[in-house]
Amino acid sequence: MSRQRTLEKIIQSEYVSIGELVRLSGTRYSTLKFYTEEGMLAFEQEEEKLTRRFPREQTLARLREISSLKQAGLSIPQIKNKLIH
Amino acid sequence: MNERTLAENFALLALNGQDSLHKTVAKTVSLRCMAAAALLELYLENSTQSGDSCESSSGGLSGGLSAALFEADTIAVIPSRSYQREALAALFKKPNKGAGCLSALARATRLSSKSLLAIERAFVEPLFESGALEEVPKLLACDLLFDSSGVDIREYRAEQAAYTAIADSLRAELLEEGPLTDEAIILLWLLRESGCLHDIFSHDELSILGGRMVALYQSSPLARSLYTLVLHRTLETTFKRFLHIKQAAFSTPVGVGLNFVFPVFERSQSVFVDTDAWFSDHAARLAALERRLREHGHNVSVLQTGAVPLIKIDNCLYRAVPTAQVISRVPIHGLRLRKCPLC
Repeated sequence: MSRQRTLEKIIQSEYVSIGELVRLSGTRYSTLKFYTEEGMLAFEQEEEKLTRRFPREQTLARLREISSLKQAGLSIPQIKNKLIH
Repeated sequence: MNERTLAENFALLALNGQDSLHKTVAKTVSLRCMAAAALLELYLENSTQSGDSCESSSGGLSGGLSAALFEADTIAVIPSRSYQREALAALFKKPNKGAGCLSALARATRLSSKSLLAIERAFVEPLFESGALEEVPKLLACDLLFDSSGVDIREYRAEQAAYTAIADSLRAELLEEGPLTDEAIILLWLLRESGCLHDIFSHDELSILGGRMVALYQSSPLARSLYTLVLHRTLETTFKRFLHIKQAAFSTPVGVGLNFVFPVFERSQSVFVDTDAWFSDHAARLAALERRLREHGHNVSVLQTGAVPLIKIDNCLYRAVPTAQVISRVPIHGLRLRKCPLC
């Protein structure tokens, strides 16, 4: 087992876990999980039972993009289409 | 960004919605666990300072901690925060006879009311200062019986963003696959012992957590040491759980209606405010209600006037229904607040 990383260390790291992403972005866990399951957030996973690792900068940029598209009035399926294609 | 400690994070989860002025069963359970959280936080700080991890401590928690911190009656790490000092003073009031930290943690079940009050003050003061916790008036204090008896009721409320961030990052860590941090293992145990798990996790998620705890017990020395330790008292936890279920049941549309007819079922949700005079008109009744609510520090705005006005009190909508309450055979005219089930 390990210790929880401080925000300072999280901000410097290349990859973050979904829990750290909650702390960094202020987005709800259920929302991040939904985006991940819908394929809107890319992640890496070494093995099936291991932690999903999200590229920090890319994911935060993606979350900002989703947020701005939502503010522009797009629905989640429309945002998904726009992001994936 | 301001980072809070493990014990402060747990305090925000455990104190949210608790009565701030009086000693209640639910708050007592939370305070005992907060004392344990302060001790465990010292353990984590110590293991960081000495460069140890939980895996390296031979017997899990008891081995590492008893050797490093609690050998004999001396404490190797000097507690830097006021709540740590209060918790240690209470837990180590008598000489430590058992197996280090575990026996000290077990003492949390026998802490006196005086010690618990000191621990509560030490925890809440820095949280008030940082704005993470606030003390808000409870609507029940406006009720005729409470107001005329001079009983004031206030409760703690954690700042919404802080509460959500702590609860959600913990949910993310516990419900996702992969290894857990020591903080998550400890918080899970503290939430189980304080009976707060139901506030954060749904029924389905709790069954997932059950499996997770079994797996942790088999794989983690820290979990193996900690999860066998019981801080709660079954009667208190049952009582707390019963009150929680009762409150949830009377928050449903049917429950709200039933509680309006029989206020005794859930007093906190059924508030009767007396008007100044018998047979007063709509406007006078509403003015008396508004005055009483404002006197107790609530934010009130009238959305709709009339015989049964619609009022917004602290972001919740209520219908104020004219009624009379008989006390010693004398009917007292007033308004009973009925929560709108949609809000």
